[in-house]
Amino acid sequence: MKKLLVGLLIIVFAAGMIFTGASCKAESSSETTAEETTEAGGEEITIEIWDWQAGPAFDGAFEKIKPAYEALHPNITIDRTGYNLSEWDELIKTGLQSSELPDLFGLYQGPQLWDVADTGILYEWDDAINADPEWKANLGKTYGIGGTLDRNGNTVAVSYDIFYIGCWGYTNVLEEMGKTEEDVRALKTMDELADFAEGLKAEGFDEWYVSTGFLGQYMLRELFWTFIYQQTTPDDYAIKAEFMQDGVKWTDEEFLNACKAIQAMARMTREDVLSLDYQTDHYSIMLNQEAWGSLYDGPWATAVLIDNPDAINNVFGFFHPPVIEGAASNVWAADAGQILAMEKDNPNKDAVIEFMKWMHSEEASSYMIEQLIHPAGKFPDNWKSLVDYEIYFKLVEMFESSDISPWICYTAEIEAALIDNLTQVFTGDATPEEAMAAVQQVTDDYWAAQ
Amino acid sequence: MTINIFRNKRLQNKLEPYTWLSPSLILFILFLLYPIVFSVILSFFDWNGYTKNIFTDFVGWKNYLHLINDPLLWKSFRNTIFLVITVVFIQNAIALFLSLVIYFGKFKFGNLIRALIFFPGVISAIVIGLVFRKFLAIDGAINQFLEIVGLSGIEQAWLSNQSINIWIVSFVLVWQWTGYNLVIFYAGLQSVDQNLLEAAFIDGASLTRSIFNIVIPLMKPIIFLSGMLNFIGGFRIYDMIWVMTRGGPNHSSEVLTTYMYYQSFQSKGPSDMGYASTIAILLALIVIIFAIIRVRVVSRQEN
Repeated sequence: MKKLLVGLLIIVFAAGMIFTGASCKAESSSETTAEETTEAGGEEITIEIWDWQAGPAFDGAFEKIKPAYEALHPNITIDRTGYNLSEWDELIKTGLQSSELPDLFGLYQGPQLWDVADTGILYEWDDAINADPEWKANLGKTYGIGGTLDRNGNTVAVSYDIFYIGCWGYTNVLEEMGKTEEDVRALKTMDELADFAEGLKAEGFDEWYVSTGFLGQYMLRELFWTFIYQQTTPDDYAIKAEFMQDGVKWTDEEFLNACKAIQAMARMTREDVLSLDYQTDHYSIMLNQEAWGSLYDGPWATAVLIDNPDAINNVFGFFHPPVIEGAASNVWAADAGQILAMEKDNPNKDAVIEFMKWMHSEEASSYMIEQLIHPAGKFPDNWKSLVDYEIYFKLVEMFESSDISPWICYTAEIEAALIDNLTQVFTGDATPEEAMAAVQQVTDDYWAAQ
Repeated sequence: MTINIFRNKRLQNKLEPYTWLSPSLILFILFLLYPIVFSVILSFFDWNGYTKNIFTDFVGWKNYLHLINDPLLWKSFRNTIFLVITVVFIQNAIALFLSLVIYFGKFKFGNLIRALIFFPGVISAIVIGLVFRKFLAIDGAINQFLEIVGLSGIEQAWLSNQSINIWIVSFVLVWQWTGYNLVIFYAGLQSVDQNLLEAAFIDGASLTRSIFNIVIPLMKPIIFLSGMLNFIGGFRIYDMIWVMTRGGPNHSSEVLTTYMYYQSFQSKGPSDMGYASTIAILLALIVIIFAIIRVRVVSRQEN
């Protein structure tokens, strides 16, 4: 009896293993068959999208984008999931390794885009864009923007939107503290801005600080880039430091000045911003006007303000005093916001290309503009009638009328070292000289090892 | 009728145990042994986590040498040791004290008290971390309480304070897991020979004297076991740190587990899977050493 049971156990176990393996193979075979049928018969296609733009702006835009596109293409379903940036690396890495990436997936500009592009899996969009003059015209100067290019200058991702640094203040909050918009606009340097904030703190106002954006450590880097661009030409100065070109070093004066501006930022920041769930906290601070302004926010972040009429109707843009006196004040870091890539062997490639082309059309752009996103595509002629917020007009004008340069690093180790060291400058744990020397050391070591 | 699966009965007898073990063995190999071997091999390579060809960039001992020269690693290691020591000593001390009080106090609701103290241990660390994070926020309950009692001078963003945030996380861990140790100690107390205690009392020994001279010596193996379990568990703490501070600000509360995540998967991090595997090996070696010590001490005690 015992032997019979043992035998049965072995048979059942083996059968289970065989069945499981066969059913997996059968599933993948049936999926392939379904896809082939779909393509051949023009039947239902689902375009699956992952991006890291979870939040009211893009969620709101897609509430209109999805039905609009599906009405135009009844056989296509748009399935978009917005994630948070903090989990993005993990998501992409595991998706890549398990070959479970969706049709369109976001990538973060800089090291992630370059590292994924180096795997050779990404579709290059240049031929498709250049073959369609209307599409190319719709993209305008956002085509070829730095964050969408691989190391060879090929467009391996296309952008939903454009993101750039802006800062603003609330006239109503300032007035309650006995200050005005003109007082802020008259400030000549970041140090003066910090002195202004500390003066409010000394007077005992709870709203004394300028919330420095969703201050993940990496956001320090983006502001840092703006401070560099205010001082330097050519505007690829930071890239030269990263790639050790033309003798440019992280220890140069421009970088040290930018670090000093970071130190000034620390004097304007609520002390808990760095360690907590900064993104949520910052939006709450902005929405509830717990600060008199915001030192860092791109256009789509203004969508948060819509829920508070006092916030959205009293906000003005003052777009940085310069990092030091005499530096330019009309240059800032800007790049593609959310960028989307596709695998080159995607069976739904044609449908995805058509979708992205439409995403850059006036219709799709209008849905984004309504959510205060700056679309990467064409603005409709009547765009100013779609929104009624002065701050949005100012942000768009700023982008259209100025030089822009990306805020990104391109090598993960150097980027991580820069972010860590800028954080130490911000928290007062390192001087600008120490921090930049440390970044230079990492840069030297990195290239020596290549 | 009998069925011989194998013609050779001897072979069948030999293989039979493995047949019964095979489901667990397969799981062990798939989910434990394979990842460990994979990590060991990966620690000798450079890999950013994106390429499908994982083992192409052999770097030899570079990652291990990097361990020695990496100041952030040593910062994480110091924080881990700090966390482990405070958790082991403070948690066990409090648990032992409470178990003695409850055991010898013979309270009417002793079981209820034990359950209440144990209760935090069954709540998810994520939930506890989020709740305490809210309490400790600059506008949280702790600061509001301090203001009410006239101590607004020490109000601060507690978790942003690089000097004390690791202490605060330790406190939360102690609060969560003291009940777990208490249950172990209470069970140990119940195994203490009551005759010894009665004899001591008859001889005039005080309760305190009896506890220190009889109870605690008899409970040494249990205290040691509890300490070692905490020690090993302390090295694996990740969730509480991640929820409360994410290892920041400025890596001030980074521990080995979160630093491993930072190196491998954190957005805007170094994306260095090889080095992260090296850290994992280091962590595993530390835990294995203490596990071996525990086994040897326990078996010596049993002998």
